[in-house]
Amino acid sequence: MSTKLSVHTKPEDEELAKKRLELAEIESQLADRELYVVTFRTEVTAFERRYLKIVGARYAELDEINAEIAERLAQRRADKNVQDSAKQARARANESRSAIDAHAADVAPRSLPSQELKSLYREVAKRIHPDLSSDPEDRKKRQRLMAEANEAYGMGDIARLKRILEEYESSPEAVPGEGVGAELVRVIRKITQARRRLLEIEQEIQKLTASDLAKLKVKTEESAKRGRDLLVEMAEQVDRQIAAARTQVSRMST
Amino acid sequence: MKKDDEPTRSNSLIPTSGQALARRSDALVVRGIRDLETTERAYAEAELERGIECEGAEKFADAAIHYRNAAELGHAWAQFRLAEMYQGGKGIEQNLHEAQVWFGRIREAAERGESEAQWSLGLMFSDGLGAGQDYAEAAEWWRRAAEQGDAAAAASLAHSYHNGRGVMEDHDEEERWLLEAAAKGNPLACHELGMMHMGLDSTNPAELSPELQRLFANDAAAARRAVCRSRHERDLVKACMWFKLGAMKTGVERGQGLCKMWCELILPKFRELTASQIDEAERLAREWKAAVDNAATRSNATGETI
Repeated sequence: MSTKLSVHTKPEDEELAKKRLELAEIESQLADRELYVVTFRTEVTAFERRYLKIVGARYAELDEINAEIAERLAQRRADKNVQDSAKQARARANESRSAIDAHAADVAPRSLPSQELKSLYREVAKRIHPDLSSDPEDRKKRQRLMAEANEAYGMGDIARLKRILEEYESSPEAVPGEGVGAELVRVIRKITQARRRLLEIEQEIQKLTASDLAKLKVKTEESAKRGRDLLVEMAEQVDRQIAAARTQVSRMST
Repeated sequence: MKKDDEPTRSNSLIPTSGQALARRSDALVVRGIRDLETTERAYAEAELERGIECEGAEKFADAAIHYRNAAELGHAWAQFRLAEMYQGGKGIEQNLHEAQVWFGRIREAAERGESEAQWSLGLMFSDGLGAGQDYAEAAEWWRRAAEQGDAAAAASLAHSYHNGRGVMEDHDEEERWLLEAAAKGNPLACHELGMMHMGLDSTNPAELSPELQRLFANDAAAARRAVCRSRHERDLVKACMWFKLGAMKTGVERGQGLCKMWCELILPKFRELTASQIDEAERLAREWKAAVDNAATRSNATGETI
């Protein structure tokens, strides 16, 4: 079917133009929100890393000492409760240690996202977002690329984001379809998909905001304004617990 | 594996690696937050105590500093006392804006459901500070907090029932809420319960012991309070037990001083109260205290597993 050039005023043409405008607005909004949520996520993750390094590692140390104490007690007494609590203490120590180790192994960005990284990501989201495609095959491909882009953003990898953008532009799915009716259906579908995703993003933001980590992050930032370093204070508090546990160990050895 | 999972998601924006790891570190985060809350609460309590000491010694500027330290950590009673100082310009420069800020924080926290703030908001309504005086509203906020287990609010609500302020006068309800508060060791409630067992009869002041006559001659308000509280047969052991329990409470709370006064200055003058009865009261108070402490530990322990 070929497009009839003479009938510009047909209602479906008008509708298509309107919907395209709407889509363009949503595209831009979607890119903004994706950027916002990925940045939020990255910041919370960066805070988490800082927390685990400063405070979490000390809890792991404390748990290790406590496990040692419990195990020494268990060597002396066959009592079932004593044996059980030694096992529990060891399990807890292992759990804390593995949480810390998992983060230590995580190759993560050392700094928060730069302006260049942000605008590049926004560009990717606008062009490659899976919800801005109506073709199932294309959508799958975009999903893969978008996930990759999220990862690249989290790592602060500008070169990789650029490659993703280039790779997609050369893809044949980017060529628009033909026929006004078919195009209208496609545009409407994209709008619906994008709206659904926007809703999902808002839910994720709400969930993140309500998370313990994000709340602690906000609290830490507010304390910093008043000259307090909350994480250091927390670490000192655990240090006191560690010192007390160490004293207990040394008393046991004598 | 991951690829198979992808299409089942409505949108396969794969979480970043950090998110997957976050779940493993949750326990460490929650622990840190809980320890932080405990430390901050202890610090806030200590600062409030210092503030009250300073205020008692008329070092108002210092008191305001200590109150502020506690208030900034969200301690509702410290917020109330700080706002009260700013409102009245008591010993410090009056600052209505600052008062409004702290009263506002109390109101917000109360509306979020924090029981300590609900109690403080009740005080604002009953004293007409930072809010128009409204006894019914005060009683309502105290009820909300008391139903959440706030002992100070239960004592305040009992007081409302005692004099029918904002609620219908009802002495059974009064005693019920007093017992509720005393079960958590609230000294003010202990004091009122002690008074209830003093068996003082308003219609017959001559029946008062000479010690009390002397005391009440100097303090008519105390006399009135003592007399109208009495609703049980005189039972000095019970009364003594309540006063002792109230005096045992550590930390700063209203009513402690009153309980101490009864234990140390007034009761020893009662010839009808023997040394062995005092010992008995002491024993009962300790038993009660142990139960109170046990309940507190238990509720902390359950809080931990959640």
